[in-house]
Amino acid sequence: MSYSVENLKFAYDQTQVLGGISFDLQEKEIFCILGPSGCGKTTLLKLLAGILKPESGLIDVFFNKEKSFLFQEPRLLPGMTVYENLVFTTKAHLDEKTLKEQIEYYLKEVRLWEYRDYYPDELSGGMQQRIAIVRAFLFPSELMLLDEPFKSLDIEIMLSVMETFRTLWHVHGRTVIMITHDVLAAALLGDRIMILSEKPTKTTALLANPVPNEMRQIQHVEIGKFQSELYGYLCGVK
Amino acid sequence: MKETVLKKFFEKNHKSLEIQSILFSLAVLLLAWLFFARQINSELILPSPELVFAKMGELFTGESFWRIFMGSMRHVLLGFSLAFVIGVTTGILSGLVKSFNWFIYPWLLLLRATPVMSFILYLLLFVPTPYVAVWVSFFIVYPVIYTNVLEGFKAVDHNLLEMAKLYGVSFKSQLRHIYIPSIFPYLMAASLTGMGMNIKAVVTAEALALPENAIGTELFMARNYLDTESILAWTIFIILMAVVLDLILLGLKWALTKGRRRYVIQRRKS
Repeated sequence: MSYSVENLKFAYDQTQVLGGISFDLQEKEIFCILGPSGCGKTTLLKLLAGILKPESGLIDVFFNKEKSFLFQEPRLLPGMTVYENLVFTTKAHLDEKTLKEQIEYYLKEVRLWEYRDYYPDELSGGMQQRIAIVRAFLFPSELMLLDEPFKSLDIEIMLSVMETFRTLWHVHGRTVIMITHDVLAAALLGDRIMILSEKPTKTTALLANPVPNEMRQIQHVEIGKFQSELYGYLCGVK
Repeated sequence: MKETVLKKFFEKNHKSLEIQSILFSLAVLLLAWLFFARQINSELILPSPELVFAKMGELFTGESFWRIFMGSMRHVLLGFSLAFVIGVTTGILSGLVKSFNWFIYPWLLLLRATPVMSFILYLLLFVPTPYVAVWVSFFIVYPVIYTNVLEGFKAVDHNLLEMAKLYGVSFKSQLRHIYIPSIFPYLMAASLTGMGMNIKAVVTAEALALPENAIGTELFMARNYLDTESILAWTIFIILMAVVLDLILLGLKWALTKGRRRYVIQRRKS
């Protein structure tokens, strides 16, 4: 199933933030929205999540779908263990037995099962974000919205967290919208990348990632080339 | 180097040093009392610690002690519980509904600004004497609990709330797992502060309302007979009551926060 967004506009305090954004989403693709800081990417994601109401445009199809989320921060409840955190967001959607099996499955998949009884503050930032990824996949959603989930991580941890995401996504593919200002994250994860201008935000380019999935590694020369191309569009050279 | 050794020593002996400091402070207080009692040499103005402790023993072994002590304890706990329940409920309501916050505001100002003595003297006109202290306790503790619950509500982590809402977590679950843990530290601080103020206000109200079986009434009687030993002995019992209630509240706080966490970590290790 595909989703489409048509001529999405949003103004805040008489300032036009989004000046008409349109795009289509293919099923089980990672659609990356890349733009400079402060261009309204988070506003766009909030519109898609239903937190904000658009001034005009059609995004109704998004409201009826179950969505899961990955934020800049892990957003784990500090007084709950890893296991309890996963139960907290999903218990209304799965019966107890299935939930138990699913949590065990996902935590083993990302090699964090032994940390199920740990509190978030006993884990590193990268591990916490991997738990947040498990939470997003555990939730029975069709769409996944990612708000710069690798922003606060240093490069080594970012790559490991990204790997966790890719591992789960390959097995349990979902349709993903990821917003980011990080060109490397877009090049490594995005199947298609939409580039946004500064405010009032408009689409400046829509590119398909030319690098096949299995070659999307940081050291791969093709990734380097694609990153340069994306920088070109971002800086307005192209 | 020396600094590190000292730091390590203090970290290692932290708990025992705390207890030693408290004991040392009490010893200084006792010695000062002894010294001034000897200097003044008047049992009416300042009886010696030996006399007061002997009076405490006499009161403690008397048949009416527990009836009097528990009478005051009942006033303290009834007023506190009433203030706690209503303070938490209205505090949460104010956090959720802004207009309710403004509705409560003038009442809160009134309760905060009115002197304890005005409450007592007014209530004495129509409230049965055993309940005057309970109502005074409520009026003193309620603003402290309400204000702190509201502060805790404002301090809730909005990122966590947004996450819970986006994942469709029920309001009941949000209240239990996000709002209440945020309010809890504020509520415990308010309870500790409120309890101290509560005991003082209750005893004052008892000394004016003179209900049966109450420490305040005993203090009033002792004053009438110029029995300074009894005044000081009952005062020490009041302090002990405050210490016991503080310890109960601190124990509750530990059990509900660190206790559970420690249990989970211990279970994990075993």
